[in-house]
This record gives sequence, C-alpha cells and structure tokens, in this order.
Amino acid sequence: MHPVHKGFALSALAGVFAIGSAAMASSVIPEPVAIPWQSGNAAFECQEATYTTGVSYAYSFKIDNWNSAIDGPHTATFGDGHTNTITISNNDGTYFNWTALNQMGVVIVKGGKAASIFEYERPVSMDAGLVSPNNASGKPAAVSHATFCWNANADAGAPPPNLVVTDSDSDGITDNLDAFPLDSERVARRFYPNGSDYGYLAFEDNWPKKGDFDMNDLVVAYRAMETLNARNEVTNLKLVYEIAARGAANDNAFAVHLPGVARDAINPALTTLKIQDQAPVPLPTESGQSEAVFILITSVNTVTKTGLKWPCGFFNTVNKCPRSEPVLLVADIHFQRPLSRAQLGAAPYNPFIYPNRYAGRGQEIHLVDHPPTAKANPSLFGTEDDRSNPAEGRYYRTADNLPWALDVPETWRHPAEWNDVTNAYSTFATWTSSGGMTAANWYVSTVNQGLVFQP
Amino acid sequence: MKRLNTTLLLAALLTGGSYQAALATDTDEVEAGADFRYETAHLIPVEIKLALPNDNLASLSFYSQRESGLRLLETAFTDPLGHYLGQLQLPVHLSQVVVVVRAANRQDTLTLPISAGAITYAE
Repeated sequence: MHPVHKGFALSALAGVFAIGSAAMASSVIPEPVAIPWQSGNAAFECQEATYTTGVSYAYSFKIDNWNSAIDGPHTATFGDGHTNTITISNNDGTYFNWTALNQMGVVIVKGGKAASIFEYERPVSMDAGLVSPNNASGKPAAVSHATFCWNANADAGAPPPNLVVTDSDSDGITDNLDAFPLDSERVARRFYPNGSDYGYLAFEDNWPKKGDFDMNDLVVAYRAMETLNARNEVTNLKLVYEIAARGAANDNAFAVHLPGVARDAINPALTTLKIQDQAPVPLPTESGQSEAVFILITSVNTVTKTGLKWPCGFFNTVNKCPRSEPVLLVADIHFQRPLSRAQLGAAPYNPFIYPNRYAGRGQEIHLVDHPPTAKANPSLFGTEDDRSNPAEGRYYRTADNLPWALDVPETWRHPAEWNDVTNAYSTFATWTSSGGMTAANWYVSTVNQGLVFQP
Repeated sequence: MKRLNTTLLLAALLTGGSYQAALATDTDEVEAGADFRYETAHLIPVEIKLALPNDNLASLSFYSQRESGLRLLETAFTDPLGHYLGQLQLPVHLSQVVVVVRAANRQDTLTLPISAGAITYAE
C-alpha cells in the first residue's frame, strides 16, 4: 500500500477519537483486504464487503468510470432524505484521497480483477493514499471504480451500552459481528497465507530425476479462503490460484488433492472452476479416486503459451523476454456437510503436477512427504533419483532429502531460468541444513536480485 | 543464415547447459536431514480469555503484522464467557499476531507474541 495511507488515517483517528481500554495495545487501521471482486451496484458491493468486514451499511455510493475528472465533490441523495457529499482529491488514476461529510465505514477500491477493502475500526471522515490491489507486475492496478459504505450519523465512539443487537439468522452470532448475517450456515472466513497476499508453489518437473533446482518449471501463486460456520467448521473452500511462471518445455497438469476428504463429501452442484474472465463451470472430482482430487488445468502449456521463440516461449522465467499476465484460476469447492479443520487439513492442502502425456497421469510430483493420490504409479517410487518409501511415509525426496517442490507463504520472486534457488536465496541452504531451525524467512531475506525473475 | 542460427542455438544450449550443471551442484551440496519436511507454516494453539459482560461473545480478527501494515488471517468467536480456544495456521517466520476484538460494547487491538509455540492472553 502507498505509505501515506496508514500515517494519514492513523493521525486522523488519533486526533478525533479517544479509544479507551486497559487491554488495548495500540490503534490499528487494518491493511485493505484484497479479494477477487464481483462488481455490481453500490448496494451490492457494500453487501459483498460485509462478507469480509462483518458490518452492514445502510447507505452506499459508487463512483464509476474512474478517470482524472473524478476529482471534486460527489453528492449522494437517498429516498429517506439522507445526503452525503464525498470529495475526491489527488487522484492520479492509481492513488486517491477522499473526505466526506458523513463518516465512512468501508471504502472499496476496484482495479484489475480484485478489490481492496478499506475497513475502518471507527468510521472516519477522510483518508488518503487509497489504492487498488497489485496486479501481476506487483504494482497497483489502475482504479476502475470506488464504492463508499456508511451508516447515518456514524458514531465515532464505541456502540452505546444499551445497544440492541439482533441475530437475524439465529446462528448465535449477532448481526453486528456476523459476516453473513442472513445466512445461518456461515459466519466468518479464514485465509491463508492471508486475506491480501499470495503464497507460492514452486515445482521441478523432472521427477523421478533431479532437475536443475531453479524451482520454476511451474510457479503458482495461491490463496485459500475457508468460509466458517458458528461451530468453526468449513462450509466451503475457495482456492485462488495464479499461474505465475512456467519454465518448462514439458507440458504439465496442475491439480489439488484434499487428503482424507471423501470424494462424496463434495457438493458437485455447487463446486465450480473459473478460469480468467470466463464464466464458472462445474469442477468435478476426478473419477477413480476415493478421496477428493480436482484437476484444475490439464495443459499448463496451453494456457501459458507466449507465441514467442526460445527462450521466450517460457512464461515469465527469462528476464530479457516480455512479461505475461498470470493465468487466474478460482476453484470454489462446497462440501455436503461442514468439515472440521482436522478433517479438511491445512492450506495449501496437497497440490501436485503430472506430465500431460500418454501414461503421464501416474507421474505425480508433490511437496515433500505429501502423499500421492490413488492414481500415482507406485512403481516409480525409488527409481532414478527418487528415494520415496511409502511404508515410512517418505515421499518425493532424493537420497539427500532434496525436494521437487516448495511452498512459500509469502509474496515471492522465483528464480529466473537456469538459476539455482540456493544461489538466488542465500539462506536457503542454511534453512535446509538447519532443519528449519534458522533462516525461516529465507524467502524474504537475502534475495539475489540478479538471479530472480523481475516482474 | 540458417547455419548461423543453428550454430547460435547450439552455442546457447551448450552455454546454458553447462551453466545449469554448474549451479545444480549448489543445491546438490545442501545437507538436509531425513526428518526435515520443508514446512513453511505451522498450526499454533491459541487461547484467549476476555472479560465480557454475561451472555456476550466477541469476534476476534487475527492479523499478521508486516512492515507495510496488517494482513487478515481469520475471524473467530469467543464463547459467551469470552473464552476462545483454537489454532492459527501461520508462516513459521512470524513471531506475533495482532488481534482486533469486537463485541457489543468494545473494540480493542491486542498485539500477542507467539511464546513457547502458543498464543495466550487472559484478562
């Protein structure tokens, strides 16, 4: 986020409000939550924001067709006589400031395929440095529109002690705290790695032979969003992926397995896959499996074709080549019955790749010690450089315990083509040889910028 | 022209191949233990006890703290006695979380360290 935002908002709060509590350590303006966004009218978008913020708003106003002429006052009038004037300033198409006569609870800033949701702990009458989510290049997308959500005469302080709260859906969570106040089966969300950023899955695709450890044969950004009911069980799981890079000539498929989740635990009528801007289509579980396995892309090469000659036929791994937009995949998985965390497991669950060629389905490549699915070919274990031992739960390791895949829980720059991850990230070897005891943040420190792909 | 292209391609392949082989020895030399699972996240037990009025529960929004601000991890709820017992999945390099408490008469922010592999707080 633009650095001016936090400071401006915090100073505005500090000057207006006195928030008192013995338990409170500090005042915090949360970073915006960036999520894939379904645009609609102002009321629709403010309702959509409540899924994240958990607070409902009576009034909403959308400023569409964002351009340089947006600067200035915008007056919203409503049938009940309520009015509000919102003034935009310092708009450069990416960042902007606003002030309003009636204080705001949430401002939604849409750009690219996602939106930033600015939720204010206390309603505020101005803010600065609002910005839409980063696009594939790692820079903020151009703002397409902004939607403002508020309640009349917003009180700067805490709700009065005699506040009457209701629980419209009778799920035990009052409407003011319920992200889904009209849905008794849903109350909140859980994110991984968080609501704004992506983690990264990085694969080598030569298994059972060792590769070159540039860990970019397939690089997939991911974010998991679990929707929870009042019993803290998961009702549905949204997996947002972006195919960020492909440094492989081999064509691979990308899939995810939910270990321990029976195939018939999935609700097929509601489970969908959305690719790029296409309409969602049904996402079936893979046949011939007892557990839930979803084949998300059967041919990564098809969706990441650059149309350029070698080496620019690679997708976002060679620095001298043109950049390509990542390929967005959104799997929306619904369960027949809510699952506990123990039943579902933890993100990123069990992602894997396999070669898209004849008899390639059995050649699955997973994260270290993650189990193969029932369709993996067990005769490949222990061949070439692989030293998997299913009897010991040992999978996808070399004799020296080297992996074929990594899970990075942070925004990450993958090694550029032909650059070993150990050279690109100087403390990767320290982390590995220490058994993870030191250099746990190897992926965000000591990066050799010359050896990683620059978006 | 065709011969030149072929020569250039061959040279590029050989150069790239030898470079690749030279670098591959670096990860090959990494010493990893048989019990190292390359895990970058862990589940941290969380227990929070709040002093709340009777029959009121609170929502707890957990955030990770970054230099540029906060990132929402999940929202959970206490029981009516203000007690929450659960787990957070966190990247292993994080040392603390920020918790925004919302209840009918209260909104606070707590910064809680991960201590002895757990997050605990009591009022």
